[in-house]
Amino acid sequence: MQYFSKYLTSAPIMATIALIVLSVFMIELNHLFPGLQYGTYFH
Amino acid sequence: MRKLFAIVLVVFFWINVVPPAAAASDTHLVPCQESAAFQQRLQNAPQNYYFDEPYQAYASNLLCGDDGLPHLQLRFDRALDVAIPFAIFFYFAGFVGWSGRAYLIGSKQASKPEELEIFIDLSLAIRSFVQGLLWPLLAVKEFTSGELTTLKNELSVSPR
Repeated sequence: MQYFSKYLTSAPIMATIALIVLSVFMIELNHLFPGLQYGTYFH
Repeated sequence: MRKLFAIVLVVFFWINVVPPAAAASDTHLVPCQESAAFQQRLQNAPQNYYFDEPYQAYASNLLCGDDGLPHLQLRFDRALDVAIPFAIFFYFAGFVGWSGRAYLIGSKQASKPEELEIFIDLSLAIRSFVQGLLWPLLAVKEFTSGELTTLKNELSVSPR
């Protein structure tokens, strides 16, 4: 278990987790503020 | 004059004046609604959420060129179109850079700094992210206290 948690903190795994978190964040952002990606939200 | 310009710009951003899309006289851009090429694209596009929503937004808000695609004008009264995306990009780029820098500076205090680059220290990483969120303030603070910059004679230079 100790080695598994250490493996989870290795850079490639952390990078993958960070990428997934960022993707979910961006998808949710688009869900909450539709139109943000069209460059017209502030009109 | 520069001060005056800065004040005018700040006031302009503050009151958040965003006029509806209207082309300046010296441009070939027209509101997308009136662009024949845009209407052509609209008719040829598949009918689903991922096309309808953007095309509706473009039609009501943006200016289109001869190609029927939206274009931004570099005009003072449309400055927000450029300024807001740039500000978001600039803040995010600064966040990424500052968090990484804070993590590397923090890892130097550990017994094996190079190990922290392979196995991420989560508590240090989260602290670095929080610092990264505040990067504009921290940058000003470090610049004024002299931490951000170094003397020229302390820089390492390759042999010439």
